[in-house]
Amino acid sequence: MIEIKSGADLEKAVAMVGEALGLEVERQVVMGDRIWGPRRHVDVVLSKPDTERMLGIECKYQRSKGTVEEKIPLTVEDMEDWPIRGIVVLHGDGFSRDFRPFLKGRGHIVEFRRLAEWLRFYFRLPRERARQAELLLNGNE
Amino acid sequence: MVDEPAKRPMSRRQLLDGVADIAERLGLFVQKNFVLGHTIWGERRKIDLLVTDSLNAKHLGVVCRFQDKSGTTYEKVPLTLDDIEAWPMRGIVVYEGSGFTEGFRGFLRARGNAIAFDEFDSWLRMFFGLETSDSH
Repeated sequence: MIEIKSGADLEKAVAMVGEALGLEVERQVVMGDRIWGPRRHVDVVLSKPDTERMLGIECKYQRSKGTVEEKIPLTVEDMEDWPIRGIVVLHGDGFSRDFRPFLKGRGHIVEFRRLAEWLRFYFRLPRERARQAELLLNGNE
Repeated sequence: MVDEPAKRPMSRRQLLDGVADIAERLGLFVQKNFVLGHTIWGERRKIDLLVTDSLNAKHLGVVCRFQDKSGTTYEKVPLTLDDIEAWPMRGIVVYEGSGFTEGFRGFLRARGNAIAFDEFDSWLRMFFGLETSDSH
């Protein structure tokens, strides 16, 4: 199982899941400019060799209660402008109870513990390979 | 008579006071921390200032956002703008501080319902149909 205690840990863990699934992994990929101006650095970009399928992932970790979560809708809005599909991967107990379903209702949100399962369908991967990655993520959940 | 221009706020507290002062000087009624239903993400909604023209019962909700340091706190403002769409009356975000980058100010202008503090006085006069400062 992967232990995650920070945003950097989450980014690393997402990259590990991608690698476990046999995907190509790039981190901190510069991809044009954000819709409000600054250079856009996407945390992780996954691609499947020999296909045109790519996915950009922004990692959001929130350990304690706060209002950092309120920035996530803008990230989701920015994704509409990306040249590739994008998702936000969430992890941590700090997200407020009502905010999680609110975010999910907007789409593009995947819980870290469900990432391997989600990627399996997005990249059309064999079930067994996804199972290996899930074990890496969650142990014998 | 020429009104003294409002002093540039140096903190969130000063921004709140500055916005309230502009509205009160125009004869408008101001209520602070007005509780109104729930935000679109489920928590109790506290609007910084509710400005009312008592003559025609026209209301405006104002949320004040101050950021004087670099950082990404301003990225929360678009969510506030989304919430404003669900209010029963018109709302606006008044922002101030060097932490708002030029790019983000342009982005907010394009979104609408957000205005820099130094433009608030004239905006408020237009909104409530009051005499504009240019006409003095």
